[in-house]
Amino acid sequence: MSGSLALPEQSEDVRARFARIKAREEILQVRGLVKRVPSGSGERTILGGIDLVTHRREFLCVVGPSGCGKSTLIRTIAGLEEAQGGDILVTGRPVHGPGPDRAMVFQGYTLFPWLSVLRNVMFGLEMAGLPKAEADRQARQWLTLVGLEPYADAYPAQLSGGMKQRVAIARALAIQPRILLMDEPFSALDARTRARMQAYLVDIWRKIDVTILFITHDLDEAVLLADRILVLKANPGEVVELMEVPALRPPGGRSLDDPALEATLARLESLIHAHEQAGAEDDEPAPPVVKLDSVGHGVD
Amino acid sequence: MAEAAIPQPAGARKSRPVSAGWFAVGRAPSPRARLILGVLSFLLPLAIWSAVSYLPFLWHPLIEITDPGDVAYFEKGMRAPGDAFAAEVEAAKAGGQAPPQGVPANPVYLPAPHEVAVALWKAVFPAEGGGTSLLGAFWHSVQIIFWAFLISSAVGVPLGVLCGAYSSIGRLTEPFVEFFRYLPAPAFGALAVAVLGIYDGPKIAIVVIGTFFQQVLIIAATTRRVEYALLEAAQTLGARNLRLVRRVVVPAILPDLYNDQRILLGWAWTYLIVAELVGTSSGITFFITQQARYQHFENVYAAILILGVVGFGSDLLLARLGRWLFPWKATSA
Repeated sequence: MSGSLALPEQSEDVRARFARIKAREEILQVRGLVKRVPSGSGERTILGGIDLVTHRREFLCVVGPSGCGKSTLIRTIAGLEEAQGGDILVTGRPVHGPGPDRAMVFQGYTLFPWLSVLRNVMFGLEMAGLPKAEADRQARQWLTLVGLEPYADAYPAQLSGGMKQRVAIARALAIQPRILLMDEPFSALDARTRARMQAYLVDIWRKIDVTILFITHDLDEAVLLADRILVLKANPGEVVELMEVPALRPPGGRSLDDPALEATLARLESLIHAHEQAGAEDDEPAPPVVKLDSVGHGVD
Repeated sequence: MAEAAIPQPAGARKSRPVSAGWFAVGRAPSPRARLILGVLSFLLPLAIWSAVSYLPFLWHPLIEITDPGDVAYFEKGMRAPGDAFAAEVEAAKAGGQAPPQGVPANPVYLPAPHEVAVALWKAVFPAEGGGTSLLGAFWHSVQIIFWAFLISSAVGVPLGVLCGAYSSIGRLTEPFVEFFRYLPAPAFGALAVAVLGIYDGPKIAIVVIGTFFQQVLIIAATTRRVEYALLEAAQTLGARNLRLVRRVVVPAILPDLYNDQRILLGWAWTYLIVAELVGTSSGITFFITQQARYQHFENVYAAILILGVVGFGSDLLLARLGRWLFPWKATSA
């Protein structure tokens, strides 16, 4: 099964880097997180006891087959959904509902269409009680960071998908969260824009003090972005492996041509494939094979 | 995943033959054609009306008597059925009496366009001290609508938003409102007169009753349609409770709420026509019923036309105003 594809040995530099990361303060602690939803007459377990720790300024990706509860996990950490068991602590404080220590970027942009780009970024700052002038000043700085200062007065509908998501990132970062939660933020973008956004995000993340928890179904994306990758399986959602990506971050950004990343990707694929197979055997009968022998008479 | 662009044959976009022109299925006509069609949609009914009014061989089932001759019961200006007139002519000729004279005419309830135009002119520029003023009656109606809609909206809009935003308030309010909605507003006429007197009070009350309950339900439904993801995003940014309603829910639904109000205003006009018959008749309805009783149908049509023009015009104006008020809505491509 999956164990055959091992990760390559970590280089000295990589090992030193992970040692540094793990020495840092723990920002997010998830212990035994259980999430059940009513289903028919009984209950279905979405998350069956998830444990996870992220350190300060760490970039952690969560991957898994569809239905593994990765979205539920991040929404529960955000405080948008309630758990049935376990604890979520952010810098040691338990999570009850949404809070400004955790900001979220959604797949569907969720910019306020009636507010200009600038006012969107100001929103969280105003909610925090900042005077308007100060909120304006800070919001412009965040817009400059994501390169959208010239669009401060535009409405979201006038922006492209990639620009919208940059505004959403600026809006989330503006409230200076300890952890930035990103729920498949780039999956609605086309391939070229997505590659550019990935580079942008790493660039921004390295400039500021924020931990990122990033959900994706795109394994390439996880390998390019993450320090560590949490692999989940479905039915119920459980941790398969917490993988350390054995690569540094070269100046030009990571490349999938790097043999270490190739190996990581191969291992991720085998892990997910194995569990997808297992899941499919569990509850979903394979579609029947229909032979269309009436079609294509006389065709070789 | 990379979405490969579907290769399109060169020129596929503009290859439709021009001859499809005005009758291409599902294709928007050019702005010029739209304008022409828009004007035609008014000119065609007017042309039909004019043809029926001015071409004696079209319809004209009656004969307007110009000279009664020796027929005792005919008199000048009277309209007699065509066959009765022909019979009288025959009878008079046979009896050696003077036959009646007449011209083909339409029934009195179908005045010609020019007659209605004159009535409209007189309504807008009334002669000194000339009878019941159409514009005066109309102005009275506008005031009733204004106050009724203001009272209804002052309570109904906030209540509707709260019902939509907080399901506990919705559950507490909506069953009763739903029940009350089925009670026809005009049924409260006698009660309204007993409580509020015979003048404008009961009329305003009936329009309010007719509007308010629908308003609460419609606006609650609109509020529920607010994109839930926006509420979640706002919560992760620190918005709570009433601030969430004020800063996110209300601005998010404002364009739809504005359109709801436009539609509700139209309904209020419908209830007005009933309300004005309660107590002492007044306003545009009183004018119309009174003029119909005197068989001044050109005035009736003038009044109806003014209602239509003002309704249509104000709706166009409000739609324009809406586009100006919510520029972020219009810019979405």
